Amino acid sequence: MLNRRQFVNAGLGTVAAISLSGPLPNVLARTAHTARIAGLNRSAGEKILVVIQLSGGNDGINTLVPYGDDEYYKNRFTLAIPREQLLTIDDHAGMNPALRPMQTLLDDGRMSFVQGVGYPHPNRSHFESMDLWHTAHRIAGTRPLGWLGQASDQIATDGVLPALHLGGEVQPLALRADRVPATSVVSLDSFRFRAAGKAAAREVLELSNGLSRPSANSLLTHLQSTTQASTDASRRLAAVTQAADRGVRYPETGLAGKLRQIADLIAADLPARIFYVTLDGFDTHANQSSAHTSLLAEWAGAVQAFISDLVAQSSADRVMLMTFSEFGRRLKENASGGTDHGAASVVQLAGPKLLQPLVGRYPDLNDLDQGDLKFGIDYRQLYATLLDEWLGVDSEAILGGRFSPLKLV
Amino acid sequence: MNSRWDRFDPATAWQPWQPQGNPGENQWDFAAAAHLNRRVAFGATWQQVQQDSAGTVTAAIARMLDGAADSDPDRERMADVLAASGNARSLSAAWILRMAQTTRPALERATLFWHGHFATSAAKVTEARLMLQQNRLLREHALGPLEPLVQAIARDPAMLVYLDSRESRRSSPNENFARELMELFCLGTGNYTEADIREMARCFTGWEIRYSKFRFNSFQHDRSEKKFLGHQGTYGGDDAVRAVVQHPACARFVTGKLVRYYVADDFPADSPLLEPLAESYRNSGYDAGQLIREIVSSNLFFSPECRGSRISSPVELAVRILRTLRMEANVQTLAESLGELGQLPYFPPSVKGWDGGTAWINAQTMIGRANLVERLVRESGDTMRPEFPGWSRSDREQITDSLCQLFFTSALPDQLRDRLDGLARQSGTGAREFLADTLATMAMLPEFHLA
Repeated sequence: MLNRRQFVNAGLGTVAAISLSGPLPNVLARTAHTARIAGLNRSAGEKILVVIQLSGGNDGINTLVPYGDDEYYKNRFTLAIPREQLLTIDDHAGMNPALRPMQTLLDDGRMSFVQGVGYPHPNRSHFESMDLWHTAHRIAGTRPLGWLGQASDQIATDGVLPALHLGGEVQPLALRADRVPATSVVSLDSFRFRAAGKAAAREVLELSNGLSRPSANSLLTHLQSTTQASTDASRRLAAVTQAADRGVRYPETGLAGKLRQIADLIAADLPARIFYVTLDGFDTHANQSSAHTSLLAEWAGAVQAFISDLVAQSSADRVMLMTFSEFGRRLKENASGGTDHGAASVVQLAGPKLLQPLVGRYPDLNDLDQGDLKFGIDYRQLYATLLDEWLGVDSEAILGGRFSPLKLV
Repeated sequence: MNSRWDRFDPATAWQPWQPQGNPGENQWDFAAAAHLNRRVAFGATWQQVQQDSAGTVTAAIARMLDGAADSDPDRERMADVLAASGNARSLSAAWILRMAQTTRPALERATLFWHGHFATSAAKVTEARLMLQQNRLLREHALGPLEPLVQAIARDPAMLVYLDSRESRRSSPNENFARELMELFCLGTGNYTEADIREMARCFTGWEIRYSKFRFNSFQHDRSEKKFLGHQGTYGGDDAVRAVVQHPACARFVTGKLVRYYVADDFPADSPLLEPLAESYRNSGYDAGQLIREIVSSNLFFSPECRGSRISSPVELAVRILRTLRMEANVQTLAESLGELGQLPYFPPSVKGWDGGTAWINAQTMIGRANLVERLVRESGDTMRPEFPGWSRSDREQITDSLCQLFFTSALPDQLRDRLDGLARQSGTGAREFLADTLATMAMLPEFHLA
């Protein structure tokens, strides 16, 4: 991260970029404003991480299917997907046909599956495994912080909104920060000063934003700069939502609606670096097939539309989308046409140009741990890569150690 | 470190303030009475502030802190029914209603302090009845001595669940409660060791819950010798609590937190100004009521440095509006909004409670807070009864002036005030609508969020 002096010394483009993540002293803010008008901000925009949490334990084996391994067909006696229906990626793995919308992303090199992601001594409790994914630690003490919350603490400067959770559910622990509370919103309507809908009130707000305050009260300074940032963010958002359709059609699903809002916010240069959404329902212990297919279809359709939208607004190269679940499911299906809690599974990445469609090795189905896949990549390696190399924050402090990064981009 | 509190002398900072009779800075006037009411009692109506400022500062403080008990059997019954329904969110709404309507708001604001201090969340303690029980416990002890409060909290079933004490067995003592007792409740970091935690945890083994009540299970209690904080003996939990409360660091730690709550968000925890206050807290037998009285009677409390040196929490902001304008609101939706703004009572984010201060504020909450105020006044309908001077003849300039005096801790920049006065002169709307528009406008100003 740049400190303030470096940032003042950096060129105009950098100033513009950083201005998007927080209020600036007035002089710099004007410079940044000029830069924005000149259209410099987008090219210098900071990197963004979007997380989709598939809650309940997604069946990774039927998401990225190891069709090259006979054990798959032996153990998934009713749930196995015939090879000819799969969207094959290499001679071992293929996508569930419900993921067809994602094929274009694969073809464009904008999507990867990281295979065999997990951690030692797998925990098969939803809550405990999710807590591990959220905090990157086995829970100790009563005040765990989230891995992204801690990233927010490092990213945040005055008045910034580093992380945003879209959705009505309880805010995921992953976002719990020490200093900067992440925000959860159900709808973007909450990004607008409602009173400012009346001209008289709007004029008072603008007058106030332009008036300097006595600097002796640091709380007042903080409130003033945050109010300026909010006004700015809501104005940019209004401009975007009123702007012409970006020409990308999103499916009519809950997840697609949320991702579209995130795309709106990214287009509006909202000062947020981390976005978080969830899709629930993956705990498919019984009659998995139809439920899983429709969940995967919702996920794939939403992701495809989102990334296409980002490509259309030239932002895809600075937005990494990561989809994970708290665990995968057991190789052998159960007697109810479903699958039980498993261990290692796939994580999907999308957005920027990625080096390869498959990262790591598919776990060997002949070498299981209590019936479950063994991990080859520790999830904290993935986190370290995203923290250090993508968000530019120090992963060691967050993960409690150094984890060797993956080569992704 | 330099701070704006440096000009104060520890010997006189907490001496009772002697206001001057002449107009000027050091005067017991409407602004001073409004300041006192905001800090101690979530704010008050125009008449109440007026009445306080016409009397003495001592009388005003006594009115707030010594007021008659506010026991409303209907309210208690309603809380019981809500708790029995198992929904802690309804309890939040009921508590907000109580804060807005009680005749003893100072007691509620102190109870809210202790709720944040001994933070316990219904997100983990899913039995709403236990949360209500804890809330009553906090209220009962809010203005009393510390040790009985901590002893009661240590046995409180909600706390036993929240900090996993009920899982604490002789063979595997759970350290959570012992840790937080020292780190967050009484001493602060640096005043104990990990070994103190391990030893002290054994004192609380066998502290269990049965039928929603505390129960001592002697079979699970570790009776062997423990060593902590310089003590050594076959102690039980009571002894551990007593040792912690009597530790030299305790008075100062608790005093520092109360000063941040009543005086200033950024009051330095290591300020030498805290020592005399901590000393008198100790001498009073750690009596919170006396400590609060000493704080809010003091020279420092009425100094210019103290005015506007707190950012209102979401609950404080909302309750202040309801009380000041004598207004009703749908407390269920209000509770929901407060949750979105970061402060849902009964659901503190962690055992650390709410960080407060600038942590309340970000680009989203700034908008959310203004929108909450806008919605409260817009939806208040006919319930608003502010009775400002000139209210009955819809004197709009008078309404703007009353709002400024009640809601702003110091004068707005001239241009801004001129604009607001200009709007008052031009407006043709009725008193209620004008007030709603004006307050919603004011809520977008940074000054509105200071107290």
